[in-house]
Amino acid sequence: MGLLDWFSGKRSEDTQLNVFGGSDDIVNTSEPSRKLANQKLHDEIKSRGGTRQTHAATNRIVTENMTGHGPSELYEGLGIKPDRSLLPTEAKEALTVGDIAAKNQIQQDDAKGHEQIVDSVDKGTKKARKLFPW
Amino acid sequence: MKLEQLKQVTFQTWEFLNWQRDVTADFGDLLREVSQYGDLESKETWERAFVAIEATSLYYPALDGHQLIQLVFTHPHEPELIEYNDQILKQFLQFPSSLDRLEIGLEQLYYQPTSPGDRQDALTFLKRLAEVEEIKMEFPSSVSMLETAATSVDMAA
Repeated sequence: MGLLDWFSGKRSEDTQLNVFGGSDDIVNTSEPSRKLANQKLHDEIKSRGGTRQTHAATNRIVTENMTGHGPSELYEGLGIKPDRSLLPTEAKEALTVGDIAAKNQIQQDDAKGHEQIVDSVDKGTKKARKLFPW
Repeated sequence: MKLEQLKQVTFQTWEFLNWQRDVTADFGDLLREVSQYGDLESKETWERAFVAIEATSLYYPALDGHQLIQLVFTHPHEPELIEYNDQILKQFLQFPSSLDRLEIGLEQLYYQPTSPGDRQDALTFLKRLAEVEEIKMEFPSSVSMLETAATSVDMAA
């Protein structure tokens, strides 16, 4: 199945007839970004029963799998304060890909609760990691 | 929170902290750690231990500043996080980079909001932070600024 098939299925699910029998079909064309990708991942975790530890574990695993370094090592190695917004662009790109991969894997696995979510995050980001040169 | 529940939560938080540190530890290690805070039969001892262990776990740089502010300090949903939130914040602020992390988070929430509630969360948390810490940060809070931010959030959504 390609994106067109998936998208047409999604649109028919989303479309609801209005009172005149027509449809209110609004396509979301907002631009993706690092922050939105991260927010969508964490919204997904929240809605699936994640705790603060699930959020923290997810960030650690995404960082570790996508950059090859745990958060402490990465920030200390770069000599920056610990916050993703301060990372070099290449690292931000890798983490964005990781966040998107993690969210899609969580949805595909229908993961619920801390253990399942963390397993899906690990699985999804290990797949995505192979694309990067380091 | 009852003592038994507090002990369970402390043990679980301790296990998570060990996972973050890549070390293995057993229940005996936890008891040795907790006993540094007083008598193991006393609830106050376990409260002090939980607060210290939780704050240390938050110090590990996994959560960004804006996530600490929103998930942990402004909209906590786990009972232990709600009950001991002020103590955890005070303890967390003892670590060297904690204030920096929170200030970065505040700026992001206020100046680059991605959700309608971000700016309000920043204002609420800044006020709370200023009560326990000397803060130089100040946000313009005029109505026109708030309207501008609300519009940019709507457009981004």
